[in-house]
Amino acid sequence: MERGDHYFFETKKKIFQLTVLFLCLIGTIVLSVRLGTVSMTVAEQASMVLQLLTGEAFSTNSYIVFHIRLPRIVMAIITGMALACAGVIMQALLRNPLASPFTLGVSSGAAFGAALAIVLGAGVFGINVVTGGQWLIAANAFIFGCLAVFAVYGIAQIRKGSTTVLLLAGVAIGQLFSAGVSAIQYFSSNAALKDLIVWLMGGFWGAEWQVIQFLLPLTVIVFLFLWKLSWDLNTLSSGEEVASSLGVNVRRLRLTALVLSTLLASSTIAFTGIIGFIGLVAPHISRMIIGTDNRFLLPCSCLIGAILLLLSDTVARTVLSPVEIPVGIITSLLGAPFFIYLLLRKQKDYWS
Amino acid sequence: MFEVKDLSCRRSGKDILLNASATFYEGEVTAIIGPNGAGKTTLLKCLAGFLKPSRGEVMLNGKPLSSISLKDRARKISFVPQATSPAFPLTVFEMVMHGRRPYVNWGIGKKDRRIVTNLLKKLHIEELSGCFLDEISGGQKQKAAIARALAQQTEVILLDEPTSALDIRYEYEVLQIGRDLAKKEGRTVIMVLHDLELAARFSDRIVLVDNGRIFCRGKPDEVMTQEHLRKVYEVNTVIEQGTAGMKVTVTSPVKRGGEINETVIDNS
Repeated sequence: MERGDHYFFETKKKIFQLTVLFLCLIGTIVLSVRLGTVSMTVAEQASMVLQLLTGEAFSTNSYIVFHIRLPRIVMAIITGMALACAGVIMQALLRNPLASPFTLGVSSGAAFGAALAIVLGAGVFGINVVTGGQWLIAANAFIFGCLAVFAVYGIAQIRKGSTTVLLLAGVAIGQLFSAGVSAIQYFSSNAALKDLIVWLMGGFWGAEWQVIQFLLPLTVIVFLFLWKLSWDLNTLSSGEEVASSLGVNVRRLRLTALVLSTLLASSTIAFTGIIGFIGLVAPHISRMIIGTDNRFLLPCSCLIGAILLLLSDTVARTVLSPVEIPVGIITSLLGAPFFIYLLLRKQKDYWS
Repeated sequence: MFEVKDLSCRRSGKDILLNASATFYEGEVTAIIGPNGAGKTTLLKCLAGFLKPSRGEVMLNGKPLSSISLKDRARKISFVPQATSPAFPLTVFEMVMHGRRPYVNWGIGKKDRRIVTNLLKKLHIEELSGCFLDEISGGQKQKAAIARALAQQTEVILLDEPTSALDIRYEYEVLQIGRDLAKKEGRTVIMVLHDLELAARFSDRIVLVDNGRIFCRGKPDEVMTQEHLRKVYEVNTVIEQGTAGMKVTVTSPVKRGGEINETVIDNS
């Protein structure tokens, strides 16, 4: 077989793998709709879909599914996709397998913003902000998430945009905001502290169709923009000079991709709270499955991220039912050992 | 025709290249030589368009390089870096395929696959096609990097110290590839080299850079004289005509501060 044909065959295989992953996601959705404090059979699920399509009045179970369970599921999928996608982009931009929305300071910035909103907001307006002032928290988290990344990027630019500086500045800025969060926690009232801690642990309590209507189009559009940059990101893996000699405007690519991936990560984190490991683990698993070509890696990572986060949330909902565990705890609890496992069984040198 | 006119490049307040002028011809290999830190790589990076000159222009076929779009530039000038190791595992075929970036928008067509396959065959690395870059030797990696540059199908090819860290066999192979590209395909090949003997043997023209200036340029035997090497490298040398080319032997360093050590050891 000619080498070129082999490559062609590989491409077909990758498309097949993406299809299988997509079917896996559908399967996971069906599974997590069924599981919960109120469990459903497949027949009930089918009748619910029928009710939805014909516009018939919902049965009680259908009501639970449509207004409580389904928004959560969709939210988990969107968040998983957004974090995994941001992870791939940040790793490609920094040419570093450790980069993720966490290492670049998005999460800690967002946490600080949310903490400000929860503690000060609760003090000023005297309302339970986790449900009432959700948009305020989200806006604050988003603004500070972006602020953190731009601070990191700005520092790196002063030092001629070296990726090592970028990563180290991320760690430093992250620590700075974490200190801020700790200080706010220390000085906040009991009620606000509880809200804040719940937010920091991350979860999909805030999932509503209203939020999804805003996040879904945003995520899809930003993803498509980033996907379009796949080739440029591919060439960047051999270094900036090579990318430049291949006709890529490296400076512009860096800035656009960083801004877009920050937007993606911080806008979802804003509504869900801190959810760890998805942005780091999903890209690595995907690279093992489908390789490093961003044209395939990006959608693959989104699917893996969505599946992982949806499974984690389903576990979080059901394992101690009717008590829920914050999903952030589950992702870190499952993610960390899994990541170590990946490190130990690595077939290829991903981290040289 | 590829030329630089009165080129200066300033980085952090220091001139690393000053008033450099040179012409590079089609069908010829030009070697840029000079001591460490003389500005060889800076000159090459200006030629590639990575560094913006503070004065002067790089001209490609009569057009200033800065007026050519990045994509068009990538179809005219290709660059082989000193040593590549990609951030994430990449196969040889995939890496060479990156060279098609200036021509490809999204999907990879039959033509692109054929071009890459033929290049791998031409450089005799076809059997490595599916190997990951961290599994192959430095020499094989260098050939893959050259294949990527060739996939760009450019008239000008720039190589930054293509033989550093290669064993003598790959050293020869890589330089011979460069020579063939100029002689058989009529391309403009420009490379930064450290080894003077190899530079003399494999290039048609030599540009000798010293302290940010072009000290002299011309045919190898015009440029590489005892006098020039003494001034630029501060060494006394014996230059002989060997069976396969010029042979340069360093006999002693010149004492710094103007005083020149005249003792030349006869190596007969």
